Amino acid sequence: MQQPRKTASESTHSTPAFDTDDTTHTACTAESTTDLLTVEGLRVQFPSPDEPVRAVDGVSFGIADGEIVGLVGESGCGKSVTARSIIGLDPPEAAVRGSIELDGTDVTAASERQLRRLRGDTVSMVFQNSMETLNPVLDIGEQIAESTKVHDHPDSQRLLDYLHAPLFSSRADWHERREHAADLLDQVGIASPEERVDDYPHELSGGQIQRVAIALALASDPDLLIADEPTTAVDATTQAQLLDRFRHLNDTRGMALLLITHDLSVVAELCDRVVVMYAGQVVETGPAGRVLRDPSHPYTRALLDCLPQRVDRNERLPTIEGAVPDPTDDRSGCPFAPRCERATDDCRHGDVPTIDLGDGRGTATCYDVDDSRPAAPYNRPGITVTAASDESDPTREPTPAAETPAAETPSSESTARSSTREKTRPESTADGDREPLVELEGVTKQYATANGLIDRLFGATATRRAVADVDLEIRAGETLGLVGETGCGKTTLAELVTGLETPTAGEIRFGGDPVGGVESRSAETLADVGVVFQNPRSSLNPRLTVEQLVAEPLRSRGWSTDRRRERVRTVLDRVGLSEHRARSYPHELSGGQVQRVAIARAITPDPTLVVLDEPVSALDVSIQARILNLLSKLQAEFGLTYLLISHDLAVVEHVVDRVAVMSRGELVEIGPVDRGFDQPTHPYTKTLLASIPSLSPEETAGVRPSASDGVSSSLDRPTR
Amino acid sequence: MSGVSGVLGSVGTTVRRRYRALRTSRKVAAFCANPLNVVGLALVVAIAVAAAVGPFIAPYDPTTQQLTNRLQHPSLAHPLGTDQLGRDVLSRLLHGARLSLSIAVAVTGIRLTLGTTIGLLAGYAGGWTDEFLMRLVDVQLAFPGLVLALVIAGILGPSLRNVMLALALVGWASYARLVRGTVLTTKERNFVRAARLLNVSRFRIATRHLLPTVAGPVVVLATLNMGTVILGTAGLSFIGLGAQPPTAEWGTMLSDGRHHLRSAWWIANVPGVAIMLTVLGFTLLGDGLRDVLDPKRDATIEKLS
Amino acid sequence: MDDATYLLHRLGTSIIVLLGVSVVTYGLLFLTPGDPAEVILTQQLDRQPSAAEIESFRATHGMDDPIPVQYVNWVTDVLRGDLGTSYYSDTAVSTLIVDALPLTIELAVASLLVALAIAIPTGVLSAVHRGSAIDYASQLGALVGVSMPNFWLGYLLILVFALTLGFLPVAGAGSYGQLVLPAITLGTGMAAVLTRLIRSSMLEVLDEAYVDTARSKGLRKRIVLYKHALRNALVPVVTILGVQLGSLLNGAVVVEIVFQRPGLGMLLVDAVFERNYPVVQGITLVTAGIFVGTNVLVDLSYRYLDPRVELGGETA
Repeated sequence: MQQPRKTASESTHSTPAFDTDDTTHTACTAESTTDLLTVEGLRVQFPSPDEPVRAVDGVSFGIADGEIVGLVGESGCGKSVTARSIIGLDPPEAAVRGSIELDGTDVTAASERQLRRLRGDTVSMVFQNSMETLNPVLDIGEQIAESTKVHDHPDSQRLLDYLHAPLFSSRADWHERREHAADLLDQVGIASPEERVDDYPHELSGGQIQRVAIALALASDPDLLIADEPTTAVDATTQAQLLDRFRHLNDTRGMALLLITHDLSVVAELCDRVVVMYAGQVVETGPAGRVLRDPSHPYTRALLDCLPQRVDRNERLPTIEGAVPDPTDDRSGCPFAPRCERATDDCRHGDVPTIDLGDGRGTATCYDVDDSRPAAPYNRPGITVTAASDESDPTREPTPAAETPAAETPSSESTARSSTREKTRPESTADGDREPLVELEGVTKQYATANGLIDRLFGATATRRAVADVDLEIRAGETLGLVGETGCGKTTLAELVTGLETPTAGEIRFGGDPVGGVESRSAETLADVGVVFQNPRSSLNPRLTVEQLVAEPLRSRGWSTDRRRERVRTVLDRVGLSEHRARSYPHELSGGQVQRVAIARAITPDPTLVVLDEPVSALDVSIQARILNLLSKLQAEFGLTYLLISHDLAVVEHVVDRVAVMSRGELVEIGPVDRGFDQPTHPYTKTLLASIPSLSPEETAGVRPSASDGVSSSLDRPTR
Repeated sequence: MSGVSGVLGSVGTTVRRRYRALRTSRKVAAFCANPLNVVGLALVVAIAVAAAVGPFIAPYDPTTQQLTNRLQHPSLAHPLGTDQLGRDVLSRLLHGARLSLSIAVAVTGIRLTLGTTIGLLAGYAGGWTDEFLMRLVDVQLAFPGLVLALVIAGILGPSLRNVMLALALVGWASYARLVRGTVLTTKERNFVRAARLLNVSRFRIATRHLLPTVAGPVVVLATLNMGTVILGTAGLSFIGLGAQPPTAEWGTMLSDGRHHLRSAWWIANVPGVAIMLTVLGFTLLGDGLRDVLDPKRDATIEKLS
Repeated sequence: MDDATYLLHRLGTSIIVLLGVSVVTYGLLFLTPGDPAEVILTQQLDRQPSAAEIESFRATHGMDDPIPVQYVNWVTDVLRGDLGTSYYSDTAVSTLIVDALPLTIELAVASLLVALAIAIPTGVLSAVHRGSAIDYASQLGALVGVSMPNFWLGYLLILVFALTLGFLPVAGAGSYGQLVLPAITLGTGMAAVLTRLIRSSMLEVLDEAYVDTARSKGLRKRIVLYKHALRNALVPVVTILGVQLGSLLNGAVVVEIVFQRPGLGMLLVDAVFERNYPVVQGITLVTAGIFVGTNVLVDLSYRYLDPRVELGGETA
């Protein structure tokens, strides 16, 4: 520590540092013990052609030494902007007001030199999208060595030294630092760190990259680590290990952590305290357990209600109607008021007070904080307002799909296949009364990989098996979930079913008839399978209108213009898009609307099977709930069969009937979802399930795989 | 009858839709947001107007020599002075505008048509067709363009027509490469994959999904190319392969004026500035179009233009 | 693909390309309007040649053989290092080229250095101070540089530095002083292209997350710029250096004429006007060969600049 830390009373401002006219939401926080970081009345605005965009609109919170704080909220709520402000990395065009006291220094007023010292010593950040946060042309060791060097000598950085110019840089010093880099890699759980030090970022897997990014942040031995969505892009098992790692670092180094996430279950896992943001403002703070169990602000409540894991299987998920307010609007009152059913006139105008809930339970920025309200679980579907908006869903009717045959059949049909090549048919014909819609038999897909001369000399195989010898049935009317880590072959398997890829071996049958790739399929077969691609926006030609997009499959059938238009109108209505959207272009639509268009197009030719590749992974929790509800409704209405691919096991558990687990191209387990999730037989499934964070930490404590767990670390391989 | 009115109706709808798209387009707004883009557009429009009406408003005949009037300083009678043969520089400049612009349009047109066709064919057909056409492209690109054009024009014999032919023959390969590359990446894009799954015909995929995607980068390259062609023509004329006296061509004018740089600066510098402003206009316009049509392709087009 | 395999592969395709180049080069002869022998002789003798003269010319230059045979003979000679003999002097074409080439290479290298020396700092500054006066000034400068015909620039430089100020020679070759103006003329045009490219590439890189990471470590701005950002920004620049060599050769032709440097370009232009075909073909072939060779080298160096590059990947 190079700077003596000031005491709490010195560093915390009792009054905000700027004009009180602007401080509509200055919190009189209960966190008076805070001494490491204090954010007071932070506002960040970006210029735009019209009104400035208020990305952060009066945020106050603090972090004490060694505390783990979660900053949660949906995309666009300003949480990442807040984080960047804390380390002084605001974009040059941003207007920042308020104060950020970090270890006694006000970041917003700090000189470049002070900032360098803070960054090299006090605070480190792990950015979102870690794949892009490492410099692609420098090896890992170099990037970590740099960090340690900055930490040790923040004020004597010579360009020629850092460029390793001979005479200007000490080779011995850099060499030593590289060795230290290996230690750091070891600490974040990277296998054979001495070798990885010489690797370039593109040679590592997503999980390894994320670990390296954390090692890089730890290299300066920070007092505060800011991690922006550190586990969003990684698999469930890697996520569990990383969270474990964070907890360990917090324990051993006393390092405080600001965890920015949209994932409430991650918060439940790890955080001491939570700060909930909505539309640039803090709406609620408090101990993680209290906030998750007994949320005070209506927004926090609504957000928790949308989570699939909180609702019974096949029950309709509660949703939040309406949309986030436009960040350019000059607003007054509570930003959530337009979507809040309990909002009163007071909520819509003027300042809403931040109320201390007492007993260290945190704060909520809402009038409607009733201390006498019992801390009952929030199971009531209270907050759904069926406004006639674009995004509204007609209420789901009770459906036959809820009781699929698969769910009823005895567990004998489910088989676990271990990796010992023991060949068992995953499907017996126990329920012979239901004809399978799609059958896969011994389906294998190999890709040739370009191997070098040397590899070939040593006889290394030049193929990669993306899908290996898979037997699978998809039954009419069911929802089959396909889960597994990134690169396990689930998307390839889906492409084999749709025909975008053709199997190298094995056979795919539709209603008993073998089918090939797209080019060899008949028009009927093509019409029989609808596909909703991962990242739906990319699957819509940006130059066509919604109507043209949805009508496209009908053209080749020779339908007349009027008939096409009629059909488009019907389908758009079914997916909950209003008619005037027909003439919009995809870029004019929100993420949820784009997903609806993609679904509409998939069901237009009246298919029996719809393949859904990560249909909700890119969506915020509240939109995700609406899309999941829509999918259930459509399934009931049109008797659809779904093949749903997802890495989000909470989603899978909520909507599917049977689940198939893939690992390294092989199908390792298949069975009804209840059984698959409650009594997994294959060790891989067990690991996978154990790594799902739960909303209530007590439940899962102890079964988490450790970072050194053999099964999981073997998965941590390069994806290339 | 009803069929005709239906067709007319749908055409009307399309036009209206296009107009609405144009008016509300962020692209138009984005283009206008950068003043340099507007300057580029203005320059190009000005040159086009000069080329269209220049010969009608030119005060003198561009080729009539008036030796008594040699090397006159700019004056009211001759706003840009006269050259070493007593010809009015302004009139020659205006006639030259039409010539330079038509050459640029013609050469770029041939390059674009040839290159785009070959690129589409290679990208869409694949296999041996692709292999053969791309080797052809490689061979063309193995020559420094102007050197080959110089040799071709020289062997064909000095004339503007031959210069145009030579420039057209050496420039198509960049288009072919760009188009093929775009087709190949677009073919793998999700919306084309989705269209294949939806049983959309190959023809419709080519015309509705691939072509419009290819059009953006090609338009940008063509715009930037206009400038390159004008410079190339001027260069070949300077060497003596292009326009032959007494044709009023900017490159030739500049070349003729070089001997009088000290005594009569206007003879060389006036066409020099004209060439520069024209190329500048097309470059700025091309940059603007690229930012609007194709933000992610900077490096590729820079490489090819 | 490992380096050795790639090199073999790249050499293979280069040979195919060079074969195509030789076909085109030899085929140029037949673009001649009319009978080549007659046209060449008319040019040489400055009068209509007699039938006997044409006949003997054909015989000496092997033009009586069928075209494929002529081509094969020519290629065989070329492979033996024999590019033929000039029609006007009895000098071997290879000797002419070897004499002229150093002047052109000297000019190209000097111009490249001038270009890089101008373009790298200007491009970086322009990107870092995006939207500032520096940025607009350098953008404008680059645009003017791109738009100026280089022979005009050459004459303006002669006017100012040689004729008016008088501290540099007007023309000729041999001394370093005589290299300065041509190198600046040719270099500034290329600098303009490179500045624009570096600026846009740098702007893209500065938006990358790893630049934020570097800053968040506490690194000084200079180190972030010149160590982390510039190296990435140069990757696309290097890919076009190979192509830019082509434009250097193009420009060299014009610049050599302006400054009366007896390099390859001047030799070529003279040969073209004299219809001295062996020289024209020889220079065309050599230039294309240099161009292809340099591009292979650029491809290989690319690998060392950007470790992500898989050699042999489609770069188009």
